[in-house]
Amino acid sequence: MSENTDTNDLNQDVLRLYSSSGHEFVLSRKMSYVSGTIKSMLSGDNSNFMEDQNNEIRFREISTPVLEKVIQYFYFKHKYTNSTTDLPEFPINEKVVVDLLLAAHFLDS
Amino acid sequence: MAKPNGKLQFKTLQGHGAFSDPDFPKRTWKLLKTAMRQIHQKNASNLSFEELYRNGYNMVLQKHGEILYNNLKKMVDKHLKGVAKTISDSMDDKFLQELNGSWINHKTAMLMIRDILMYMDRNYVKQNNLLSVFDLGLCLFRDNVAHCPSIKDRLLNTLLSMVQKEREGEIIDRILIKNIVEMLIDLGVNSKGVYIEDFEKPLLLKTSSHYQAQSQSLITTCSCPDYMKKVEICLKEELERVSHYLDSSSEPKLKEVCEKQLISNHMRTLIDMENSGLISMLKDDKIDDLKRMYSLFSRVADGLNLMKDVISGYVKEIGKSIVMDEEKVKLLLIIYMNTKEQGTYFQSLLDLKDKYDNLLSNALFNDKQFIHSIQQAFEYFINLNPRSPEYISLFIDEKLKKGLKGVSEEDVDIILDKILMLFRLIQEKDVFEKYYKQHLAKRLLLGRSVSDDAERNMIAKLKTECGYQFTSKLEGMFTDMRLSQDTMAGFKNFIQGFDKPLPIDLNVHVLTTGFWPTQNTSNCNLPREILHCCETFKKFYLGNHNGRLLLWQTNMGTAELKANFPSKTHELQVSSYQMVILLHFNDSPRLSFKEISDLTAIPVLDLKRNLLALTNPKNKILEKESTATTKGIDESDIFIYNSKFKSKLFRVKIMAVAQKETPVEEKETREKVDEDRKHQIEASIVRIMKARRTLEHSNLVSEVIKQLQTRFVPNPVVVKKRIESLIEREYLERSKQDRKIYNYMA
Repeated sequence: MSENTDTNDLNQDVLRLYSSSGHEFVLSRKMSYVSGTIKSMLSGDNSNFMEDQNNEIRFREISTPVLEKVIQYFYFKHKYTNSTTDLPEFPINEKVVVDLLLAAHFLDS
Repeated sequence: MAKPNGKLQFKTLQGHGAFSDPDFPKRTWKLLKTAMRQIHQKNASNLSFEELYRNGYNMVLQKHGEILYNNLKKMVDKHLKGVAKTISDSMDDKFLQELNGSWINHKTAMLMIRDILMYMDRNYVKQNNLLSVFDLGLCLFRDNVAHCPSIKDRLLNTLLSMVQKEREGEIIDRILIKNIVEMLIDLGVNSKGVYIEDFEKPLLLKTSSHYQAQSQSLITTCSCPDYMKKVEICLKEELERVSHYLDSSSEPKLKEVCEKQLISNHMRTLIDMENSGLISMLKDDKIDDLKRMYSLFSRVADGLNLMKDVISGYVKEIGKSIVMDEEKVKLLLIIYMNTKEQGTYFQSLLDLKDKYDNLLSNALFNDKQFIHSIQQAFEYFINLNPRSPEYISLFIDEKLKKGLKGVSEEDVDIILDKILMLFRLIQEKDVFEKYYKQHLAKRLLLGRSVSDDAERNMIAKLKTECGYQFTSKLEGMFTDMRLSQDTMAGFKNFIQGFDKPLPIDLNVHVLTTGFWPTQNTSNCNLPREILHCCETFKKFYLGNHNGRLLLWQTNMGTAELKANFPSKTHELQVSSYQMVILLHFNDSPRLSFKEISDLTAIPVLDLKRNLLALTNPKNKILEKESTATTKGIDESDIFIYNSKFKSKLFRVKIMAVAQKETPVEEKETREKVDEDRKHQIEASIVRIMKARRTLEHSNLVSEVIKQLQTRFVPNPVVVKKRIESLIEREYLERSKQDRKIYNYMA
């Protein structure tokens, strides 16, 4: 299951996220920076960790539905930050609430 | 998103099973430690951030934050000790590079470690008020490397010697120093303490001693302008140094040190330097050097004050020498003084003023303080010479009589403005008024004025300067002149109706008493023909203006005579007095001084003066037979009509001997002025008391002085005398409670 939204097709800008079960999500790097953790993983000036070089991050402890929701949130957040329109509700499935909270904490977003 | 509730996460994460493991912290640390080693060796590309972060995250979450933090500290500590050793062992020329390299590596490593342990920074560190990972790294580096005994002093000495080398003109690796300096700043952890203690303070000390030595040697070998040029270069270099590799906060400190050593400590020496100091700059109009001195001295406290004092002292001295010198010249030439002397006297003052105005605007940036002090200096020396008001007036007289011929209107304006500038400085403006009135009267009556416009222009300027009061009488004089023209036109019509025309043309100026400088009218005996004309005019005038009193001012008039000499007939232009004298020679060719005096009744002083003019070798109308050897006229002299008189010109103008104020006249003018002042002071006292009703003595005196300042500066003693006189006349009374307080009595 690959969630693909219209991103800039620049290779440099593309980031792949993998859930604990190995699902691949492709998104724009810029979007992922909503997460403080991912941001420092990728954008440190001198740090060149594996993730930065390969443009992919494997989250061993985040399940596919949760990661999907997280990525949805990135886009949501990106769209409505500094927007003047009313904030619509961000739908969350009750079953994943706790895991989502944990993932958010881990990702600092 | 909100932070999760602690309980919930615990439960959920237990599901992973890792946390029951007692070896978890040890195992995790081992993993992290290996990873950090890799980081220190710059092998980060094999590491998974996610994994490391997750482990760090879990450590902290599992309350093992303390273990993690302390282990990290130990590990970095140990690593840095090794680094310090490598640096200490490095060769001198590689020392700074080595240190800089280690620093850059350390910083990079610490940034990466910080990122991995971000979660610890956010939670454990914050809750326990510890140093964040990165700051911890800075502190450890500072303690282990920068402050390592074998490095600290060596670092400082290396830096200082590099700066010194640069001061001596060598080229150094500025970027390297800049990096090291930045390191020191970073090591201060949000303050500049380390930078200041480890580098800035010693640098300032070193700078101070360097420039102390340098300035000492410079000042003994260089002239003042050269020294200042060098100082300018030094200061510029130091500023460049700051911008190139020092922290900007050091700029003011470094500047201060340099300025103190290079400027403050040597100001006096520089100013007093012989042949090149301030005075000689002023003498030679060294605009650029003065400018340089101004901008250098403006950097330090009191610099400008010192400079200002010296300049104003110098101006005073120069001015004084002009004023006093002319005084001497004047004493020698008291009788034969021609107007040239006042001309140069004033011209030199004006030149001086021009020179300093020029300096002010070109070298001293029109600094208010300087303008003021130079102004004061001028005021000081102009008022040193009590005759300055007279000289100003004479100078104007001279200009208006001939100096302005052929000069355009704008130039006239400029000249008058310049004169006015000096006039402004004069304290005794009333004395000036007296003289100006006299000179103006002469100019008007003798028709000597070059341009009516210039005269009016001058008066208008005086009016704006001193107010209506000051010039009302002067303006009255102009009005009289105009009215007189009308009167004369009327008189001409009047006499045309006569059967017998008058034997001579009579031209009369009717002057209002009070507007004009009063002359004590000792009338001379006029010849009959003239007397007749005068009577006719009197009749005419009094017929038009009833109830007026006409007095003849024979000392102010001029006349044209037709004289038949054996060789030729000439027309003589003479003064009224000279005319009266000459007419008596029609009756007798030989008259003694006494006879002339008796016949004409001309005051002795005026008589002498006019006879001197008539016996002048240039136009010798009369021969003098003298027993006395003096050059002037003696009362025993005898005068004979000179029948051999010859002149190329038909019209001969007898030059009146320049009427120089004699000491007696001068004293009279003084007395008149003093008398006037008494009235003015009294009027001012009464005005003030009328408004205030009661006033304390010293307040009253200062008010009076303030009120009269625009005209003259009253002496407090004189003011006191006037107050006493007013008390006697019961305008004022002393208060019964306090003798120092006066009451106004209505």
